[in-house]
Formats: sequence, C-alpha cells, structure tokens
Amino acid sequence: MQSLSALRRGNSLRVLVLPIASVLVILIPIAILRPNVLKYTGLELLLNMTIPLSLATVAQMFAMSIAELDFSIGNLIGLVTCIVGTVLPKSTSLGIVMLIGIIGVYMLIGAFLNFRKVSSLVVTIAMSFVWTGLAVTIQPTPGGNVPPVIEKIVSVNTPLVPFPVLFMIALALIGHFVLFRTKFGILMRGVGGNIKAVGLAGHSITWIKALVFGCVGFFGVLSGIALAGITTAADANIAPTYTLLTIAGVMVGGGSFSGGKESAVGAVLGACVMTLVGTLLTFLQISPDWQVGVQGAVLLLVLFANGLASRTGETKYA
Amino acid sequence: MSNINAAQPKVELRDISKSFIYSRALDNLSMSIYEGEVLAIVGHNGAGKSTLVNILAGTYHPNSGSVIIDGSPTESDYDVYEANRLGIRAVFQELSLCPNLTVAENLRIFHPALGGRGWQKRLGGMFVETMDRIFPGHGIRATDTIESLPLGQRQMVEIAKAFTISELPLKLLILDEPTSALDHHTTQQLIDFILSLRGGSMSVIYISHLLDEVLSCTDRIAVLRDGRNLGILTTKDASRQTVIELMGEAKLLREEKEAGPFSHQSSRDKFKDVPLVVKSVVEDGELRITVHEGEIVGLTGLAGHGQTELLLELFDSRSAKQYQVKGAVTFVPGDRQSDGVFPIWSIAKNLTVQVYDVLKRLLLIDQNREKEVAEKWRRSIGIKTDSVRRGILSLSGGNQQKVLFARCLESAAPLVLMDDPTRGVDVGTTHELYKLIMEESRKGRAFVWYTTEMDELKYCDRIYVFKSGKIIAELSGDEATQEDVLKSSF
Repeated sequence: MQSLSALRRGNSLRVLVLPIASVLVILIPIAILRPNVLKYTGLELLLNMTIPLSLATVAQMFAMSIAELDFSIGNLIGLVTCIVGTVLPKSTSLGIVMLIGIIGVYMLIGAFLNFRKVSSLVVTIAMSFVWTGLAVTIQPTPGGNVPPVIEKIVSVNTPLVPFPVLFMIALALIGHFVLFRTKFGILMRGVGGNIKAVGLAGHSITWIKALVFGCVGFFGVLSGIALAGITTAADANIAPTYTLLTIAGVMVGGGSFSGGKESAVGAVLGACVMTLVGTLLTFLQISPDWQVGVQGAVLLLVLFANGLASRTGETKYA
Repeated sequence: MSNINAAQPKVELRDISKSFIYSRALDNLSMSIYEGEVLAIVGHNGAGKSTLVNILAGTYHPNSGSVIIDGSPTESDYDVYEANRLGIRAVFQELSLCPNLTVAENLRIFHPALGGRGWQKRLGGMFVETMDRIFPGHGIRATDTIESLPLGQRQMVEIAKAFTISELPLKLLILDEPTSALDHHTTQQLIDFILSLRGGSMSVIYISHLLDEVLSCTDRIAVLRDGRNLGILTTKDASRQTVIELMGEAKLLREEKEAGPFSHQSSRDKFKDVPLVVKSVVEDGELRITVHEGEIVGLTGLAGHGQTELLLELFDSRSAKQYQVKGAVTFVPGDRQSDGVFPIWSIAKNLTVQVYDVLKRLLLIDQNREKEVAEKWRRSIGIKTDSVRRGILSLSGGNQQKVLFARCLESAAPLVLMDDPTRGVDVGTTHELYKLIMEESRKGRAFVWYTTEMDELKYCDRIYVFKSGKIIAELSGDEATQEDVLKSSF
C-alpha cells in the first residue's frame, strides 16, 4: 500500500478520482453507442493508440514535474518512426546508436537548461525543427519498413485482458514507483516544488535536470517505436498533435505548469482520456473539422474541475 | 571565557570579505566558534548576518579570507555539499523545504544516503523522534505534505530536519531567525532544547533580532554592523542595554523611554466614531472584530490559528461573509518573498505599485513622479540604497520590508492590514516602523495588525486572541499583559 502514498495525501481527488471519472464519462457513452468495444478485440482496438500516447505523456510528465516543457515531443516521435522504419531495417546498430544518441541529446538539453538558465520552451521549440529536419532527411515521404518484431510486440495477444490495458497499468505502476519511491523521483519532484531547497541540500541541479530530460528522451523514443509498430510506417509528420495532447494529458492527470504535482497514474489516465475523446467524437459523427475544437472544450472543462478540486482543501489549524 | 579561548576553535572565519554588485556585505570579518557553545549573532538588517550564514553553509564564496574548520582551512571548492560533509548545517531564514513533498521525502532530499528499503518508515521515525526531543507534543506526522502545514509548523519541520542525526556528522548548526514564525510556546521549547545542548559536542550559531531570546539561550553574542564584527560579549555579563549600545542604537533606546508607547492614546479619541470594519448581521454568538478610524487592532494567539485568514477575508471584502468593510484596504504581507515583492522590479516600482492613479499622466506612468515618491520614502524611513532605481533584491530583507510598508502607507487606503510585518526585521527598523504606525494612526488611519511578538501588542488599542480559526477573547490594549494573552490562547 505504501507505493500508493500519493493517495493518502488528500490529492487523490486531483490525481485519481477526476481522471478516472473523466475516463468513465467518455467511455460510458462509447460503450452505449458501440457495445462491442467492451469485448476483448473492441478494447484492444479502442485503446491501441493509447500505448504510444501514454508513453509520450509520461515523457512530458517528467519534463513538467520540474516545471519545464518539451515542445518538441511530437516532432521527436516523428523522427523516431523514421529511424525505426528506415534506418533500423538497413543497419540495426546504426539505428540503435541513433536512438540512444537522442536520449544523450536530451540529457544535454536538460543540463543546458540549468547551466544557461534558459527556458525549455525556447530550446525545445528550436529542437522541434531539428528533429523534423532530421526526420525528413531520413525519410522524405511517408513509407519505410518497420521491423516485424516491433509490430508483433505492440499487437501481442495477452490472455483475458487486452495488451493495451495491461501495458497502461504496468506503465502507471512503474512510473509511480520511480516518482514516489526512488531517490531520483523525490529529487525530481523536489526540484519542481522548491528548486533552491534541493540545491541547498547539496545536490547538483544540472545533473538532476539532465537525468529528468534523459527520461523524457527515453520515453519519447519508446513512444516513437510503439507508434511505428502500430502504424507500420515511417512518417516525419505523423505525430505533431502529440505535443499538445501530452501536455493536456498531464494536466488532465492532475499536473500543472508549476511542477511538482505530477503523477504517473494521472498521466496515463490523462493519455487515455485524450485518446478516447477523439474516438467518442468520431462515433458521434462529429466531423473531423470540429473534433479539435471539441477536444479543446473537453480539456477546458477538466481543467476547470481540477481548479475547483484543488481549492476544496480546508485550512488546517495547528 | 579564558578556558574557551585557549581551546582550538571548531570553526573559524578569518578576514572574510564579500561584495555584491551594489554593496559590500562583509568587510574583513573574523570570528571563532568553539565546541559546545551557543554563539549569537545580532545586528541590523543588512549588517551581513545572512551573508555570513551563506558563507559558512557554502552557498556563497567569499571574495577573500578563509573558513577554517577543525584547524584546517577549507579548499576553494567549499560548497554546500562539502559543508554538509564536514558537519555544518544551516536553517535558513527563507524556508528551504519542498512544499509539494511529505516531511519524510524532504528529509530524504536532505539526507540522501539514508535510502534503502523502507526508507519512508525509517526516516519518518527519525523525524518524529527528533521532533519529540525539540518540540514535545508537536502533532506533525512524517506523512504530512509540507504545504498542508501552517507556516509555524513548517519552521518546526525545518529545524528538526537540520537536527536529525544521520551518517553525516553534525558539528555546527546555524539557525538564522529560527523563531520568526514560531509562537511563544514553541519558541520556548526551542530555547530549552538549545540550552540542553550547551557543553555537548555540537556548536550552535543563533541569529535573531529578538534580544530576549538571544540573552536567554546563548553563551556569547557577536555584534555585526556594516559587515564588521564590532565585538563579542559574554552573555552572562551582557544586558539588553549593552547589546543595543554596541549595535549603535543607544539613541533609540532613549527615545523609546522618553516618548513611551502609549502617548498616542488620547489624541485619537476623536476618530473613534467612524467605523471601518463592522460585522455583518449574522448573529451566531461568535466574537467578531470591529475597527474604527485611527485604531490599532492587534490579532494574536498561537501562530497559524486563523489570523491571516481573517486578514485575507477583510482584504477581499467582496467575499467577506462575516464583515462589512468600508473604504479601501491595503495589505502588508508577512511572507514578502511570495506575497510581497516583485523580484525583477526596481525599488521605486515596487514602492509605487498601489498608487498608479496618482502617478499617471494620461495613460502613462510619470517616471519622475515615481522617483520622487520613492525618494521621499527613502529619506523618511531610511531605505538603505544608493538609488531607488536599483532592483528590489539588491536590498536586505528588512529594507525590502520597509519598501512594502511604504507601498501601503503611500496609498490613501484608510485601513491597513498587516500580516506579522516585522518578521525577521531588526530592532532599529522595527522601532522606526512602530513610530510610523503611530503617526499614521494619529492621522486617522486604522491598522489591523497580526503579530507574533508579544512586545508589539502594547501598541494596540484592542487585542483579539485567536484559537482554531475563531476569536476566543477580546482584550483592551492597556490592560493586556503577556500572561493574559497566553492564558486565553491555551
């Protein structure tokens, strides 16, 4: 039970109840419109796309937990699909080196942010052009040839419960463990809460930020691999919407721009909400032209509810 | 004394100088701290106390001079990490806890080596044990999130965090204004605990502007002014008077005696009929405050029992359910870092932010008027700077507080709310502020003043004692004594 310590802190409303409620609010109408989605294959199809999106949202969660943002995550994921679909089939070792290199670059970005005291917004927007530039160099038009083993992994048939569901549960638990149980997680959340205090305790902020951004890169790369496996395509422009979807997902999951409040369980649920909203709107036969707008409205609603929830805490007297 | 001086100092500062862009904070300062002693450091705001703490704790590097620990000089790469390793810890004036983490997690950040399986329980146990030793009956759990605790309890956690025994040695603990947010009861607990440490292996540096505390729990008192060590007194031979004289405030002491704090009383009676704060019609038997023009109303009781909440309710009078507030209000915040100062603005801009309607010419702010107003206050209350165009952070904490005071007094609002405004401000400055409050109240301005200093209650016409979010007693300023207040708060 200790690994669920976040829930005992009175913020369960924000990180658990609201996101789960949001999932249900969207899932129930879907189930009424299309009862078949609750069957094994239905759930698998419905939640397939949450695998890459939840990985990307967890990546964004790491950045946001130290009050930074990764505005290049969508472009990065496009690049990763190009590496997986184009470079990897030709030269496995070069592909792997490139993927690891991305994580290294992310660590440098993290260190640079603290070293030069620059805004992550500026740096990552700049990086987004770099990622897309590299991606179209590797794979100018959508195509490629994703290794079958990756396709197999993301569409594996697990007994009883479909793979995407198991995957999300595992991701949430691992993320929760890292955030709340490890020294790294606590230092990271500490930086989000009071960066000066962590520095005063003798820790290197540069190193912490480098590690946190290393995690952003790591989960971003995993997300790209998963997306390539599902879509079986290398496409530089496959995921530009991910950047905003991940930020929205973290917020739906109880996170905030000011850092320190993020939770992995919330982020995964948030990713789930963001995927399902799109599906629901399709089932409701709302034209794609309107979907983005409606998604935005849903997000505003959730944030409003979040704001109310965080204000209900009563003043405590000694 | 002689036997202490003969021993080798535990920590020694030799000819330390430290300059910042706009000011010289320490000027060839030397000081020794011996094993098992409690050394007080007193001085004005801007005397260099905080800079001294930061140098000892390794957050600042001195421009020249050396820090010598156990007889061996520290290297040039002496930093926080190294200070911790050598057994020097500090409780800083600005709290250094992560508000979003639990008490146990904050301890983990401070004592990273204490990990391993079950660390939450182990660190939590260590914390509670330390808290029990210092603040018996504290009521704080290791699983509490810091932001759920009132300011006073956060400070208790901060202190206990520093005293927690870990794998690292603890030779010298620096407490920089440790009682600023503590109420009377917990302050006494801390003083008793520090007294119990005397003669042990640990040394303590105790920095406070409250001379009574300093006189009651230290062995020696070092007096700082303008970055120099003016001299060290032995506490048992020192008195309030001798310390203040050494600080260069003898004149102030005389003035205080001659004027007497109560001389304002009679002249203000003419305002008494004009109410500024009255209670709403709801009658539920609870005590409510009332404020009239020219009155100074004190709020007291244990820290964090609803005094600040009342101020906020009065401030945002539209949301006030229990009170009707007539006329404009202005607010002097207690936590100037988060609620008071615009950190990237100049002193002048910080000071005039409430009076744009006066400074404005057509749609623009008149820069010269802005400077004039700021200069007026700089002269009249002695804000220590060479130009009001400097950034507000170039000022020491006490001087920043003066700017916040000036900001509110410059506005025309008839009601001033003050949230423990002299927290961490030195004796000289607080007396100037008291004088200012008296003068303004004579002109008809009213003050609602939450204070954690018993001494300040004597300036109030009426005092309300808080407990658990409610007012439990109303005392008249003339007759209220410390005992009265304490009796009603427990």
